[in-house]
Amino acid sequence: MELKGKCAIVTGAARGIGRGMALKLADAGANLALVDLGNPADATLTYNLAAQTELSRTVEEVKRRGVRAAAILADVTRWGGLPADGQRGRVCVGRDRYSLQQRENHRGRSGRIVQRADLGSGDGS
Amino acid sequence: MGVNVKGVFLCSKACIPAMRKRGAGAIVNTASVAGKTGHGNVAAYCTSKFAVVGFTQSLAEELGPDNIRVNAVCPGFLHTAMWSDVLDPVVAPSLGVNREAAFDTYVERNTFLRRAQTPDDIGDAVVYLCRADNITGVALNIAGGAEMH
Repeated sequence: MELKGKCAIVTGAARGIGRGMALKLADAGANLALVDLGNPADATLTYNLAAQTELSRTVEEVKRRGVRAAAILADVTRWGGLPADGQRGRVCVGRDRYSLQQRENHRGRSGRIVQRADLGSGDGS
Repeated sequence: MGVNVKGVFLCSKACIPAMRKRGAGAIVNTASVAGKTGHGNVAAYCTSKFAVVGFTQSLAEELGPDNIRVNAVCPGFLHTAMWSDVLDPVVAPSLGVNREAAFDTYVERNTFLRRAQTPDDIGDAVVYLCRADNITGVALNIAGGAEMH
């Protein structure tokens, strides 16, 4: 399968292995939605979570390879959770285009879109 | 367990409807060589990664008719925070070296190629699995020979 112009979602993309995946997919020509928690340090952990600035840095590195890229702050362990900035929402793949949407979530029901990463139709066009 | 297993499950749940609608898709999950062979002192981690391999194989069969391929990468040894903070102090005494030398010594003794893996190595494998039109249900080791099944 040709990856040029296709859309890919990479979680844990701020640093380390996820960042390595993102850069290689970008080298192959894929447009990318880059997902990470973007949380400040958590005192209960023995290591630091990736910061939002690290995710932003990966986005810029990916864009310099000539593909489209967008950052998505999300917690993959929660269906509809966005603890990074205190909002509740959902990350989902759109029906007609490969876009990621984060929505406010009130009492379990999705509200307005607060963040969107539109990556095109995914067919190379 | 939350990130390694539930996160993988939820990401698939989010993507599969759009992939089904398009009639094609490629999912590459992140497992580990710790998902192929169990090791002491890291039971929870191994359990989570075995789960990813099992989930990958199951989903590959389930989604094959939809032309959605599901594979996994199994990284070997990268000097991540997990190694520095958790494994170095555990492994060092058993290797008879100090904590600073633990990772390099472990890699030297446990890989055929005598070198650690890098994020680029794992990225190359992900690109390969995304491109490989007739490969599904595979958990691909990127471990310098440290794991072979």
